[in-house]
Amino acid sequence: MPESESRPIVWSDELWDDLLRETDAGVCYQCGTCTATCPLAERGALNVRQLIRLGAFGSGVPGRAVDSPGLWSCTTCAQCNVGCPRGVDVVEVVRHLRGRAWKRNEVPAGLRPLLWAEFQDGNPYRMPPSQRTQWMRGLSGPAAGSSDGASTVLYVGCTASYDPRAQRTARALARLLAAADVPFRLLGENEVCCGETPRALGAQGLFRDLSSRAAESLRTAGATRVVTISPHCFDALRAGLSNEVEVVHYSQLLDELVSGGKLKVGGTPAPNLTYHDPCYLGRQHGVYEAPRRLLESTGAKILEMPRNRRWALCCGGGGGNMWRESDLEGRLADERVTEARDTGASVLATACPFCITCFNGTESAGTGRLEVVDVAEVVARAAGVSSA
Amino acid sequence: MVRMAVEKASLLQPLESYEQPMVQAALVVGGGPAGMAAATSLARQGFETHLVEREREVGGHLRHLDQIEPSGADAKSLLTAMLGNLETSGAKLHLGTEVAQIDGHVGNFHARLGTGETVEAGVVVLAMGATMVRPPEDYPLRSAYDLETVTNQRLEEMLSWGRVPGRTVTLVSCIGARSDERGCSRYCCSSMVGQALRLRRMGKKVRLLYRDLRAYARGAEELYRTAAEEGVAFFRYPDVPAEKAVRVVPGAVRFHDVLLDRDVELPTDLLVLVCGLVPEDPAVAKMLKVSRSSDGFLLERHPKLGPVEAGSAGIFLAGTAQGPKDLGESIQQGLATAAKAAALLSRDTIEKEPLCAVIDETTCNGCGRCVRVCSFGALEPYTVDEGGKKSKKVRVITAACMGCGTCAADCFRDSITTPFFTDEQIEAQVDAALSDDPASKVLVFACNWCSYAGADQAGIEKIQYPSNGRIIRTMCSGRVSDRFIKRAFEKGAGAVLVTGCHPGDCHYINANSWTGKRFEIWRKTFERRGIAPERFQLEWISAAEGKEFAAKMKEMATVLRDHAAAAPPPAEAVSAGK
Repeated sequence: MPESESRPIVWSDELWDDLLRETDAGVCYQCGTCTATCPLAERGALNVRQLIRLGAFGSGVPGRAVDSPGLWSCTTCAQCNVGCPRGVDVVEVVRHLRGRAWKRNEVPAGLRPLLWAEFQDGNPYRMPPSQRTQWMRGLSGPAAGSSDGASTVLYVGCTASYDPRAQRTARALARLLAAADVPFRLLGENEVCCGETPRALGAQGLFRDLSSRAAESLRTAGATRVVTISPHCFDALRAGLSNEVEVVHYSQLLDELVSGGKLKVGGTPAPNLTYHDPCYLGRQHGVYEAPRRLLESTGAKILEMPRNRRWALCCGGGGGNMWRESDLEGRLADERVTEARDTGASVLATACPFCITCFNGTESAGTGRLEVVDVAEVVARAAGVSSA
Repeated sequence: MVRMAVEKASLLQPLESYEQPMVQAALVVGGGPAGMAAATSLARQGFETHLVEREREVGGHLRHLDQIEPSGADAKSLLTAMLGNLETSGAKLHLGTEVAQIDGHVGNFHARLGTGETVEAGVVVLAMGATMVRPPEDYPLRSAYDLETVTNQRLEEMLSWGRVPGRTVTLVSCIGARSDERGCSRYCCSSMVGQALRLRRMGKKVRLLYRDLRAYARGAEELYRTAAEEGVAFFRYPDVPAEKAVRVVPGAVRFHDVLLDRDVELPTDLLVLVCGLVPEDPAVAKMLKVSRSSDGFLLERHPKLGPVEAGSAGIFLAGTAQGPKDLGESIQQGLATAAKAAALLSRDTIEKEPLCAVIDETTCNGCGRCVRVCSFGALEPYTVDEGGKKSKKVRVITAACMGCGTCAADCFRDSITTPFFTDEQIEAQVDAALSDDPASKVLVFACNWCSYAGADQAGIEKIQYPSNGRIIRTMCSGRVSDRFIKRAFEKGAGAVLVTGCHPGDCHYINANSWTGKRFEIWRKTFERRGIAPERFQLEWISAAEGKEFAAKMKEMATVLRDHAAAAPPPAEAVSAGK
């Protein structure tokens, strides 16, 4: 037993009050339901209950936070929140504990450059702001956000701006909005990261900084409504923008358009597909049915995976894990893709660029029998709009 | 089985119920909330009521409280209200004195108080309360080790003044409770969570160390949640007595946090010991022969069927004298005793079931064996002077006798008769049961309260078991005499099974302990006479244990089969051993 283990931990009332101010961890009675439902706990990577308890102790011993079991492995999927009988927002606690680790500079290697990229470039990809519009290749007219005076802003987000796979989703969505006569604008070079990654990693200061920059650019554009592609932007903008602007996920908007008859879908019915609930859309914000209604409107039949909606298994990409090599044995995405394939579906649809990246990165996804697509792309095909 | 009933019926005699005069007055011993509630209620119903309180004021522990948890009600106003009700109820208060001497039985108790006054009462309510445990030496109650230590009672006083020393306060639960025979003190969790919350609202840093947290009263769980929300920090210490788990070091307490699995130190200015309740050792309960449970608190007749009654009629138990409980529960129990007592007091006389033992004084030689086994003190030795020749006798105090029959089984001279369960009647049942193919029969003696009901339960649950059992019911297994066993084996019974309530559950206080003691002797005796031990067994079966009863009967059937397979001992062998 190392020496730090044998010496008693000295309780800090100040850190405790700190935790109480920022989270509702005080009411946790340590039943362990969170751990019992955590997909990482199942892999021995994280003990949520213990993490909360550790949080209560304020990590009084130096070196504690970085080696806290699983503090940085947590994907913030919020499965723990679903079962908590005390209604604790455990994800909030994880963010708080990560924040404490930043204050003591006890963070895993590789995260600091990531935050510098966010700070300097306004995105986690170290890409120049000038290239934010590259995704628009081939778009023109209303689909290129040329509707002057429109109060709706399509917030593309860093991933859809820079990641070639996600760019396709963005283009499909832009064309769908144009097809439904929804005037919208784009922020272009002025779009900055929503700050979701710093937020999930506990860098609260940087998150606040980024969201105030995002708020400023939205205000300048005269936006009253923001449509996001990534559920992560959806979550972070909702947290960062207070009530000044209405933030919606594109699946909610498309659902409205289709059910209101403004967007016609039909044509060739999509093949049998299954739908994966992104954590930040489903569990975090309760949007389960809009994407499903959209998929069904195309004539597709959804073959549900055993774990769906509140119990959907995380893809493994949240909570900053898109930028860290997973130290897990067996990726969550592998398990999820297998689960999807077992439904008999030939298409795995989801509504989050992180999920798509994770699923496409799995070994089994490459076998070709399962196509991973975004819901927007499925709708675009059914609406006769190019989804490329 | 029909024949058994018919044979018994042919010997039945008409019985007359007894009537005893009832002194229509109540004596309540102890003036805490339970006693106050009982006395107020009885007096308001018009009964002459005497409340005896050792202290010069009534109120008990309530006098020392500021706020009642979990409701947060003001203790002083409650006490004032209860006192007002008591004073206007007409109850006679005897303050600053104790019951020095008490005897008697239902309908007729005589008490002498320390003041010399005497009180006659038909019923007695025992509400002497319990004591707060004295903190062990490990926690010196003074400023030491750079921290101050107080009890939760002292803290309550400090809270009532609104002045509590120190910035950091640590409360430790279960001091003196939940160790050895002693169980949970029940009142303390809600109380300490409430205290912790009040401290927190005064701006203190508050930590609460618990072994288990049992916030069971209405509103207590909500109070616990509020305390947690407002920042009281909760810690669970290991499942051993607090004095072993929580150590005081200079300026702090140290313990092993179970939920973190690490040793933890809490810098502390004020240490609060949340003390459990321990039973008093009241002389009055001893004089009334009220049993105590293994934890030392007064034992009720039955946890469900007689929760506020003592084993003997006319004596009722209220408040923490009967077991640790919170204020609300104490008052409830006080009111419950008043209701039960009033049911007796409302009549001029009390009618008793005519099961009371009868002693034939022509044959009784006053040996006193029966006096020893009576749990109710219902047998009284006396001396008669027959023409100058003094001889000892025993008589039955009919009011005190509960009719268990344990005395009759112990009388060498067969001088004691228990009506409806006479020797002749039971023997007629034995004979009838064994009149046909006795070797295939298992004769079962079952007590009225537990094992007979247990056999019934087997039937209710539709459990299949062999049909060769023949059950003879007595009020208590203590009624079973060795002459019945002997007779059964003489008649060639395959096996005999004596059953009764589990030890500690006896409906006649502890009469079945005599069954146990006697059985040990009988088993040896009958074994010497050639009865294999498996053919003569004792089994405790509760009213709920239908399954266990059926299983035992199956086992006995196997015993009979094995016995039949081996060569049975000739019946004469048993008789020869006479």
